[in-house]
Amino acid sequence: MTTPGSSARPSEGVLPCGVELDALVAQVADGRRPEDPAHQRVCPHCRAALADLRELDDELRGLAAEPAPPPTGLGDRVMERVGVMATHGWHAVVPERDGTTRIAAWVVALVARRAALTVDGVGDVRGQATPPPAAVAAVRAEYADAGPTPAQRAGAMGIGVAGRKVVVTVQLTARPGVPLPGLAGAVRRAVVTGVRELTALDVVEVDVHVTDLAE
Amino acid sequence: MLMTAPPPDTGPAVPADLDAVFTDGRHLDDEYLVRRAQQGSTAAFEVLVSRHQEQVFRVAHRLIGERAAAEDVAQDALVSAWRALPGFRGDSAFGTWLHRITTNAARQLLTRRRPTAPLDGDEPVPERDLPEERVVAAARTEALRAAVRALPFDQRAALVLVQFEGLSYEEAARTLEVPEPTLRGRVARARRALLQSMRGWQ
Repeated sequence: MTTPGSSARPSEGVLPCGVELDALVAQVADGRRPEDPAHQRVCPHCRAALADLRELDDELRGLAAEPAPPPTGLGDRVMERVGVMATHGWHAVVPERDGTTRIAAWVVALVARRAALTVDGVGDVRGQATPPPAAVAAVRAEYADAGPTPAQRAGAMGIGVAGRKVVVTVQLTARPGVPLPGLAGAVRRAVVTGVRELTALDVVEVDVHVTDLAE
Repeated sequence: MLMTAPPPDTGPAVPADLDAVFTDGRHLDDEYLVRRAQQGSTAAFEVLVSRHQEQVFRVAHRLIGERAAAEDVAQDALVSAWRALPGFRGDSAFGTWLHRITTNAARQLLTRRRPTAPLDGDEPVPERDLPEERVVAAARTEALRAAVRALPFDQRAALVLVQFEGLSYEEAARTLEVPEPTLRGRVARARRALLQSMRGWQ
């Protein structure tokens, strides 16, 4: 250990013998070669500072070796949040060579709705009527500052996006007399084509809920 | 909405049941898993999380100093990673990229709470005249820990990445997005400051 008076004054960065402390730090911590080995062998200031630095280096290594295991369930809690975001995220994300395209989920909802409306036999089209509260809370937490309006939020709830993959839920009313399985199939094809044409996203699933017959 | 055709996927063929594969995805490399996760596979991301959560938590813990807050930072960092994944271009290793996100998350947490919770000054003063060498050594280690916590954040982050995580100066500089001389300067200042506080403690 050093005693006051004989030791370096690290705040000034230069030892009384004129050697830069940083040079000694680099020597100990980074394994750099001594700049002046002959001087170092005899200089008490350098030797004291080096001893001090080696001790600190050892102690830092000891600290670095201390285990800091993650708490149990950290991964599960992360994946829970990621899962909610993936299902109810606000944006479809399309990485391109020169930038990233983000398409808001409610835009996808709007495109899907218009596509569904073109199908003969469809009365009215809505997104998912009641978003699950868990989804709303998660979305609010992730986008606290620039949140969408409640109407946009409600419209987007029927849309699941993950990267460029989209799952669409449409609720619709059918005109009386139209065979429903055929109608649902036609809606699926229209939504897949419409969304792909306008957004270049992959619609991997279209859930069609026929909720009522249009008068 | 500007769009071009999706880039051709050059990766291995995707099995029909991704989840079944990824529950045993240990043999798949980060690069492949990142690409699948970028295409929306949460199962691929889950393997990445289980592989890297130890590193993320460890760095968060060293930057923050307490486990509960470190878990918050680690969670936020990994969730942010999922959100930022489409922008990850693979210029660095996934683990290095996570270092940057973790550091940013820790900085954010400390900025938010700075007014109420000072990081230093509340440490118990170690007993100085205990005879047992081990007790003294333990107290010294505790003092060093406190000294690391008392460093300015940028110096601490530089020190943690270089000294504790073993990154090269160049890697650490890229991770923290500063020029390499700046990074070197921060690490050197951190070491000088630690040296000084440990001398004061003796």
